[in-house]
Amino acid sequence: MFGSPSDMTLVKQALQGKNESWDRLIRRYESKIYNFALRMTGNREDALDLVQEVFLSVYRNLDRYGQQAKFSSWIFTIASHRATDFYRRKKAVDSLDEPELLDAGGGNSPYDQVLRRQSNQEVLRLLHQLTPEQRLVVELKYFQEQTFEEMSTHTGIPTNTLKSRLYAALRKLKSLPEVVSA
Amino acid sequence: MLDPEVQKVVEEEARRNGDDPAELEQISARLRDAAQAWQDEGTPPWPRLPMATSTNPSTPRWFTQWLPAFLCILMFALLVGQSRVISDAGGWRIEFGAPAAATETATTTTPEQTTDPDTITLTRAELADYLDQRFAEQNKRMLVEFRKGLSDYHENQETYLTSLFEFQKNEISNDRARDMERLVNNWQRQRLTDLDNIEDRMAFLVDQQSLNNDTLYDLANAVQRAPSDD
Repeated sequence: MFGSPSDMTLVKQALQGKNESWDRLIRRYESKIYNFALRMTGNREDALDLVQEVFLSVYRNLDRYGQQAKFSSWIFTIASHRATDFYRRKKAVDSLDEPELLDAGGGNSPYDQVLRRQSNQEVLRLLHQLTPEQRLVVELKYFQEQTFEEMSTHTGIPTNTLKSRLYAALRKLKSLPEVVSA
Repeated sequence: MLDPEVQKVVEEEARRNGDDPAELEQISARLRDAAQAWQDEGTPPWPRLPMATSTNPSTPRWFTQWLPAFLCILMFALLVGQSRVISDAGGWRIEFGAPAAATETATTTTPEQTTDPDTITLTRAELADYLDQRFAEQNKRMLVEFRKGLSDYHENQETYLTSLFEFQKNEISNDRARDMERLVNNWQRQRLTDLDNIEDRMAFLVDQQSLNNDTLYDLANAVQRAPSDD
């Protein structure tokens, strides 16, 4: 009764056209999705585009959401698919550029921002060495801490393929001197 | 502690491919550390509700867009047509054009009046006065409205120009900040490249020095051995 309403409650209210519930639902997950998108795309502008695509897709499919899966899992399933689509489109236009964080953003003192930017920049540079498919596997395994079964459910990719991609990612990083020497 | 699933994958695949699992486990640990080192960034402002409402609008958008324009045109037409809403014993009615009172005065003259030239002159003079007065009032009212409209327009223009100026100022400031950031990034990248180059050259010099040392050492040995051979 008290405290914040559950995801399911917010979903139902959003389906009834209650804008506040939809806004609340977005704010609950936007940070996670945005940081996921940032790691996947490597820059803030594309990340925000991807976030909008994900939530648009969530909104359009909200009536199909059932309680069989947690909302957080469901939204990440959509995010994974949208990220894959994003790479397909991006590949058709141009190759992905160097990861670029134009400004730190995100609050706190300028010193905190600089520290966070440097730290995150290194992570982005590391992820950028991988292909999009490998990056998605690494993201889901190390950043989302999912099992291969969960990853397979969310992405629709067989577990053996996921394992092969993860192994290929590790081998690729092993071959890079800056990764080994760091 | 490595993820058991990852460890299993690494061991199986390394055995199959003849790789060293220790190195790959080290890379996996590096990735795990990178994930832990990631610090969430705040989401920049973005339109949340319009995204939702735009796909399921409750009212037609054209309606809200064109309603003010339609009302303006209607008001203008009513003003130009000199429309009036009149309430009398006959009920409510809307009239356009010249004031009905003048027409009524003209049409309701009695036969006696029409026969009397003085009365006719008087009625015509009154009618002319009345019309002049109404026209004067109308002109005065329109002048006042026009001045008020003009004043509102000037105020709006000033507000608009002020906001435009503020917006441009912010844009320029943001652009400068962005350029500065890019400049610093490029400068740092160049510095790292330079450091790498210096490191490579130093390594080359050290290698060369090492080779020289070896050559000198071999030469010294050869010179030492030479007298005993004789």
